[in-house]
Amino acid sequence: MITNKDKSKVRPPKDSMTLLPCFYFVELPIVASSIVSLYFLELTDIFRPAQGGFQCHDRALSMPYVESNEELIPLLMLLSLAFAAPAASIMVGEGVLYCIQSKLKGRSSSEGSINAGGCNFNSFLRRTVRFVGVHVFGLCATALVTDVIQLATGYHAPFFLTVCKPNYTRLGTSCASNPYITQDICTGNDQHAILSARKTFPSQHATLSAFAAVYISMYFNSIISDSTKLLKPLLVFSFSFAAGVCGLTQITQYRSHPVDVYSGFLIGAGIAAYLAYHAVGNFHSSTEETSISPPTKDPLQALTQRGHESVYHQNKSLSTDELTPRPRSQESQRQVPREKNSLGSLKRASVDVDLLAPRSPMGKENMVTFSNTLPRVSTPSMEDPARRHMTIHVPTEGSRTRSTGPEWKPKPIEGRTLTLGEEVALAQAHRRALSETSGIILDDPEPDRVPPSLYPTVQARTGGPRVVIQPRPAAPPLLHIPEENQGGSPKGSSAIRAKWMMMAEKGGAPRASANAPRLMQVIALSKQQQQQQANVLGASTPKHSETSSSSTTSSSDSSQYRSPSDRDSSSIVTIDAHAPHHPVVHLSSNNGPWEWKSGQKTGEIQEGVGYDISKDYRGFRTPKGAGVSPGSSISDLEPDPEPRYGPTVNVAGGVPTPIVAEVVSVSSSREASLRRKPQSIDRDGSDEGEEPFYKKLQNQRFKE
Amino acid sequence: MALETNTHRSYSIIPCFIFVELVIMAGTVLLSYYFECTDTFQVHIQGFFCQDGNLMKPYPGTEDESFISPLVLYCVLAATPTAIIFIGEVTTYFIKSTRENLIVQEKMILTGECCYLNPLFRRIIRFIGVFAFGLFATDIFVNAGQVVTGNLTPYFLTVCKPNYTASDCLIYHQFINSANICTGDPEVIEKARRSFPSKHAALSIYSALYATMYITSTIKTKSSRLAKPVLCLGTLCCAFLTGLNRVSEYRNHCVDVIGGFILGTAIALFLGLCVVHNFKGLYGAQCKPKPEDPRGVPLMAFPRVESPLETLSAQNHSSSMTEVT
Repeated sequence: MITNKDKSKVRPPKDSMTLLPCFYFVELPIVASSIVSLYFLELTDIFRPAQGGFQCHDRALSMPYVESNEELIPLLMLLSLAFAAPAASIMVGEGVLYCIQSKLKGRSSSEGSINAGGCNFNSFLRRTVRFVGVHVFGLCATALVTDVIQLATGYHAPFFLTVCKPNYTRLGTSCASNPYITQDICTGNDQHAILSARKTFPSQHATLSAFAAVYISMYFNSIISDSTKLLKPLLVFSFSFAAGVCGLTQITQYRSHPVDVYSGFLIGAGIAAYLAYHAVGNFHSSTEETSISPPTKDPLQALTQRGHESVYHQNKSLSTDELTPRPRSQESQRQVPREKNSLGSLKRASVDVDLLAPRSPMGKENMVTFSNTLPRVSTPSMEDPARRHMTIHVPTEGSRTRSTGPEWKPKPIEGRTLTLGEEVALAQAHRRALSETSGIILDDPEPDRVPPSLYPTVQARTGGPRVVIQPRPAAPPLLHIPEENQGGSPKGSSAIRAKWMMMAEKGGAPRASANAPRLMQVIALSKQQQQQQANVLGASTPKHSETSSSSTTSSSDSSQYRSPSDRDSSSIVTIDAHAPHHPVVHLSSNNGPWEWKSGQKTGEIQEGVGYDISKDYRGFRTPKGAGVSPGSSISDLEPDPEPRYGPTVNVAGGVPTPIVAEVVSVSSSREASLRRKPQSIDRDGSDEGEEPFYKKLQNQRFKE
Repeated sequence: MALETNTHRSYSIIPCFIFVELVIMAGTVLLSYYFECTDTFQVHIQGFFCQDGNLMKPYPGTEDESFISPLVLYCVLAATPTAIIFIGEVTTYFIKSTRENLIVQEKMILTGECCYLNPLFRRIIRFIGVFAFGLFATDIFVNAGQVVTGNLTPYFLTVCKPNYTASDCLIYHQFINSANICTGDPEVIEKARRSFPSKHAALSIYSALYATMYITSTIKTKSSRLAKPVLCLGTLCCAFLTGLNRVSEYRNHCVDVIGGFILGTAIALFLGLCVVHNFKGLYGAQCKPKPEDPRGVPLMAFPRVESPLETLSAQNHSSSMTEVT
């Protein structure tokens, strides 16, 4: 039986040097030796059965003797049947299978042919030889096992006393007094019959027939498909029926006790089951090793696929012109520096970036999540370079903010105007940074070092990523906020809150109530627009960019949008590097308060309402989630980061001139909404605050 | 879920059904008919020992006088699983939650131009058909066993009324092999030669086990914990008692009943596990692990929820970061 294990393992795939030698020098000797030993056991008298005793006049041993030639199923017939019937059906089955498989090319289950010794062994030949060979070996093994047990036990057949014709007088004692007889008192002439009468447990017929039936039944069970329900049981039943009859005739012809037959059935079935499961692998193809491995990857694969599909889906929803820009966007990133002066090109570039960006988070997710485990995954996400950069954006951003954070705290008041805008972003980023284990972070304070790491950041940040992102991709960073929140943000946010409270008390609060209805309208309107946006998403992105650019005012030449392009050129990168810390501070010191005032008016109004809205928003958001199509939802949620960052970038743009002031004033409303955010955060103390904030932003944008 | 996704076009199902399943079924029924109602297969004439105490039990009368008469038994064991399967399938189909699952598993099959075979129909046909096939197969097995072995029933010597004068029954271990020693009613004697395995036991345990397997694998109710066990064990108990009744009425030896139990159990298990695959759908195994198509689901259905995907990706941000840096 050990050999059979080898047998199954011996078949390596493809070109094989070991196939034939293994077959000749391992399989064949084993089968041959088993046959030879079977011959000695079965047909010679070398091994004598154990001498067992019997009782006087035992009825169970007094059955009539059926001559060997009168047997219903002689041993030779049994052997040939047990060999021929399964072998023939295996050949037929394999032939049919081979034909079917060759018709349906590309079936993974089919075994490849093997070249060995100049001969080509195709799957049909190999499988047939393997299965029939194992069957032959199994028959020999079963017969061997049966013979050994028979010889070892030496139980008497039911006809023993009939052929033995014991001479009870030779005992010396009467049968009544000493009923158990161990001496050999046989007087029968037929020595062969007496010998065979000593070999009964287990029944040879039963073991052999049971082995053949179970083996072939398992073959059928694994080969025949489920498309016909009754063919399999028919074949299985007919074979087991034949085996059963074969065994039962032994009983009816008094050649074996019923116990012998039943135990013979069990032994044969056990051997067959063992061989079928472990020697031929339940009749599946021997290339299981490879086929088994994929399933282990399956869950991950499914996951990635899901991610891919969602990306796909999203892209589709983003409409057609989304697809074309992508290459252009990369291109544009390089080209734009030259065209910097032309606003249109910038805009387009920004749009492109926007378009590009949405994927990036997704791509990032895909790549990040699975690139380590599954090489396959990386193929679909082809725009690697861009994507790689994108990947970093969150951490770097966070790092930046963190580095800036300390600077901010000391001078909260001057920075107020921008602070609120900025700090919102900062707080978010901060939290995010915390959520991500940030490795790069602390380097950033030095601007010189920044460029390499910053470059991606900015690019990602350009607002693109969030602009079109799906809710899902966007979610992860946000989701983590609550947990990691405790770290540093509370301080900053609390400071902000204090500031904000003061502001609100001054002006905003009273007006809020008056404006509230209007804002609700706005929300409703925005809702509609969102719907529209969903339809015209391709258009929406540009529009979106326009709105943002308009917010920055044309005069400011949308520094925000220049920034992405700038980043590509290393020279400007430095500016961006500065963006978080210095310029902001700069600006705030320059024109902070007064700017703020002007902006605040509007901002305050919004703000006060925003307070209410944030409550409404909660109710508002859920229906949207349910009702609005994915595309629209994307557009809804994403846009905020861009505007949010917008002001920051403006500041970062290093244009601390009046232009910036304008920018601020124009975008004040937005900033106001931005401001609201920390507040909401404070209130909720959770990520949820951000969503209303986004909402608000959007509403405002639409209002604009 | 559009119709197309659940529809599977197959032109081979009807011919396959007619030319394979029905032919096999017809052959089985015919064979069991020959076994049951004709004397095409002559019972093997089994000998016996003089005055064998095991064969001298009182004659309990014809089969119809039994406590469990064959007609009642056959009707009950054929009807019970059929009814259970029918009711179970219809219920499964009309309960909405299970129906979705069912349709995903099973698919609608479109044959030719017009014929829709819906899952309900297919499952009922399949399960009941396999059950019927198994019933006839069990019957054939039992009859074959009886005919081949020709074991004698416990009341054989009572109805046989052997004429011992014909042979010398002087010795204790005298084995009488001649067929014409009996003087009783040949018809009853012919019946008395059929004993192993017990038909009642095999058929009843087969049908009970099949029904039990169906109930176990199909009915998934959380509300009642005891209904299923009670139903299953009750059915099995009835089958068991039927077998015991045979022994207590001296109609079968204990060995016959045990053999019948084993035979019926083996057939039911084989059919239930290997043929109908524990009453799961045809495509159940392949379909289940597949997650639902993300395209089909509105993405906003999960707005910012902690989906495993997201947490995974979020966690991997950090790893990506380290990677790039």
